[in-house]
Amino acid sequence: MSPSVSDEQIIEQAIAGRQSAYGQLVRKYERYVFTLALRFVKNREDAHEVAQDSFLKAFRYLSDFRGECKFTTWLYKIVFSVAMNHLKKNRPELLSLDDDQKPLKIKDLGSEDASFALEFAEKKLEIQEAINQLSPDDAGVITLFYLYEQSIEEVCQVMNLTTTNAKTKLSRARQRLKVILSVELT
Amino acid sequence: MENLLWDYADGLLSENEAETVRLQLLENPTMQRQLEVILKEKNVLMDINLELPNRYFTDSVMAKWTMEQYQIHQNQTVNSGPQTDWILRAIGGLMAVFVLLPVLVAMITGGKGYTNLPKTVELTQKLTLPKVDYSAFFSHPFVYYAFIFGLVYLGLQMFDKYLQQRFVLSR
Repeated sequence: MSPSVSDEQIIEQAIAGRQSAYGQLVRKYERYVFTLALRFVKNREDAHEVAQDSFLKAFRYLSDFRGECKFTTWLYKIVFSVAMNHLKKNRPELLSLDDDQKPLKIKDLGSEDASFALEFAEKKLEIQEAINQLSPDDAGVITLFYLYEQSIEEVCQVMNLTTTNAKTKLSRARQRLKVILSVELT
Repeated sequence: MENLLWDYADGLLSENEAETVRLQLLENPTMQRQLEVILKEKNVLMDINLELPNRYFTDSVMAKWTMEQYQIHQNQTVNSGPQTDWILRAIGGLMAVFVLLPVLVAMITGGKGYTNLPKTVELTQKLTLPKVDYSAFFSHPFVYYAFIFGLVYLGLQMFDKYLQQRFVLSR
């Protein structure tokens, strides 16, 4: 099958019963789903489990996908839901603190310095490590918006947020990321 | 200010707000430099490497999915009742009749022709096991055909399982 085949075509084939189409979907999105799962659950073993369960759940409900949103948005919504259930069962401490209980130390930021440091650090690796230290929600919103290039409306769909909440969460997540980076680099 | 610039860079501002920021940027070189830094940071965020699951991940997902499909198919076959496998059920019924009928006949006729049991066994005598003539039982036409039907039934059941597995795997 050529790489130009769209998600919709692959989904149609899968629904029609072609087993290889399911495999194609897994291969195409395994890294995205796994990365997002890892951002939420914070360890690779659990991320494998969440990613696998997410694919299986997506396959079970594939015929319900009506194309009202992008397939990726629909898929990430499933990953979010599976990951949250996983955390509730296995690591509720990661979900126990809400934003108000995690105040930002904005005074530590030194915006210019942090930006400067961010620019010249061994960027990707350090940002990746910093993202891993964020809460599941913050890491999720950063990953979805910047790495997966989902619009703010799509982020809202995936994470069940209002637009205002999503924007606030994104802004806070960014600031927390900077705090982590500025602390790491000093 | 920084948040506003991030929102501007991310395209999260309304048209009016974005226009205001654009005008401020034209007049404020510090703000312009700040925006440049933000855009670089944004590029880094958008360029982070994706994590790689283990090499067997796809195979593992597909194996679980195939297994799930197979189980669903099995359940559907079981729940679908006599419409789908009525032939097998009919053969099974016939086999049951052929197995039970000789037993019934033996019960009615008192076992004549099937066994050669002694009427009494004296305790003082050396205990010998009664001799049973199984050949009469097995050579009985009902039993003979029941065995044949049984074998055919089991063969068809196995063939049916094989076809089901092939069907699921071929999908």
